[in-house]
Amino acid sequence: MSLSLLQALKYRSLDTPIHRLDPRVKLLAAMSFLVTALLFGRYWGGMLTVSSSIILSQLILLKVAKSSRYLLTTIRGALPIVGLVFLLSLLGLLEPTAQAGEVLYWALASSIRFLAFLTSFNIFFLTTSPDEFGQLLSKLRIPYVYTFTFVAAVRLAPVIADEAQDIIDAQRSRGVEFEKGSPVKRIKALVGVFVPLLINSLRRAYEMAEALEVKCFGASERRTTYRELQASRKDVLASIVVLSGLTLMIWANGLGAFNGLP
Amino acid sequence: MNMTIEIEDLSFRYAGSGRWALRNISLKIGEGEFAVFAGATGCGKSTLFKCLIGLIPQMYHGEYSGRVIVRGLDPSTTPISKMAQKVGMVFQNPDNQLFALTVENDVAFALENIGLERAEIERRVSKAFRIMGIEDLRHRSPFELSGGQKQRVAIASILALEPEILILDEPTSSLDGATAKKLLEELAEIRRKENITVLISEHRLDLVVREATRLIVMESGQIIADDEPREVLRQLLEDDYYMIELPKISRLAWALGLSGRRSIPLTKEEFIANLWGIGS
Repeated sequence: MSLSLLQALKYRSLDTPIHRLDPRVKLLAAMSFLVTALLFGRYWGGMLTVSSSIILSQLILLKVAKSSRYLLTTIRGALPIVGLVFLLSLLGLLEPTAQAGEVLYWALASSIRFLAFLTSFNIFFLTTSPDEFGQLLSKLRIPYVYTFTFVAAVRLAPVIADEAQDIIDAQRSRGVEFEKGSPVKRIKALVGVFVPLLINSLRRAYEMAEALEVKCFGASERRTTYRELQASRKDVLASIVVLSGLTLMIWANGLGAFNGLP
Repeated sequence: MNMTIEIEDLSFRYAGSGRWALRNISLKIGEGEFAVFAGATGCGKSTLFKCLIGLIPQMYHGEYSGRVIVRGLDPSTTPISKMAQKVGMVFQNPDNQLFALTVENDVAFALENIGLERAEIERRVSKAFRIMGIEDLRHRSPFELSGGQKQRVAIASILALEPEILILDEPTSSLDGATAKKLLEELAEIRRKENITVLISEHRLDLVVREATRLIVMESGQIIADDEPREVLRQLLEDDYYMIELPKISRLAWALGLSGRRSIPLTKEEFIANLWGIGS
């Protein structure tokens, strides 16, 4: 489950209006989805309406971003957890005053809300490149050391994955079997991969430290940035749309629109 | 010639090691030279290079004696980030030198670190791209590049610092012959055009020796030969030195006894000229 869930959140480089949006706008949208999903709906009807509309808007946005199928992958991956939420909500049936229909609707609405909560950041993760994410972090005034750590981790992940594959291949060619035998045997086989990988990584850390030194890492108190996020008119417009959507929801909530049917 | 690097009686032993990695090295390198360092693995080339930018003794500790002056600065006490703006250093493995997620940001990385203004970064990044001929890679991600392209980006990211000395520690070890040859030719070209001093360690002498103004051979932490390349080759051929692979054309000429009366040939053309010279 978890792997397919992560896979579905991996950034894919595409050129769509959504991908071109400033990551700050997308972060704002994702936060609005999250807040809306969590805050609203004291009554199951309202909850269902709000959560479904969140998922629907996600779907529309992802359709524009040509990534809608990954939403389905996320939903499929999340089904076990959502199922758990549903079952837990059904515990309400144990209460003596419970009405079966009411509890069932509650359970359904809670599951959908949970799904809306889980998928709220999809649009952000799917359409924001790690590079933009790094720029976003520095815009949010996160100290550069952390931003750098994040960017370097993303940069190194495939390098280390390649290295792990090389070690696995080398072990295989020496007769180590990774897919056979008892769980204990399999874990033992993996230790043989992990140890050389760790040692290689330590050596790599030294080489990287050297390279960072000669590239003057941390030399200046005030580090400058070459590429900075710049909001265009479209980005401003999009943020206005997102904010008015959020305001509308809050206003409707204030009027009691999501608290029960009249 | 103005001396850009002066080393006097330098010795170094890594902390915890019983062996001296460098033993009584004395060396002077003039401005604009193209110095090739040769020697078997572990002979001390990399250690020597690290002393020139201050990684030794500032990052790697140990027993350090002697005096090193690079462009008027003492690398053992000058902050590495300050040294790095005079001495650019490119390492063997490009994967461990590229940090950003686009090529462009990678070349700008060091410039951001020293806090340059955006316009200046733009100028230097564009220049580095032009020098290395990688303008088309500008918006690519370092993941998708070939080994040769990655090494070019790594060199560009150091050239962007506009160093006066460029040190390359086995830059071609992960490249195939043709790519390595092309890169080394380009480096020679850059040295001429940009007027920078180049120090390079390389196993494939065939590829670099004709561009070199100096050939320095090291063994067990010592310099055993240091002169104009032809002269060094003559000495090595005379001694039948086998620790490094000498250029085939030079060995052939030597074996045929063609180089006795004239200098050692480094290229096919020189070999043929020597051949004609037999009769005269």
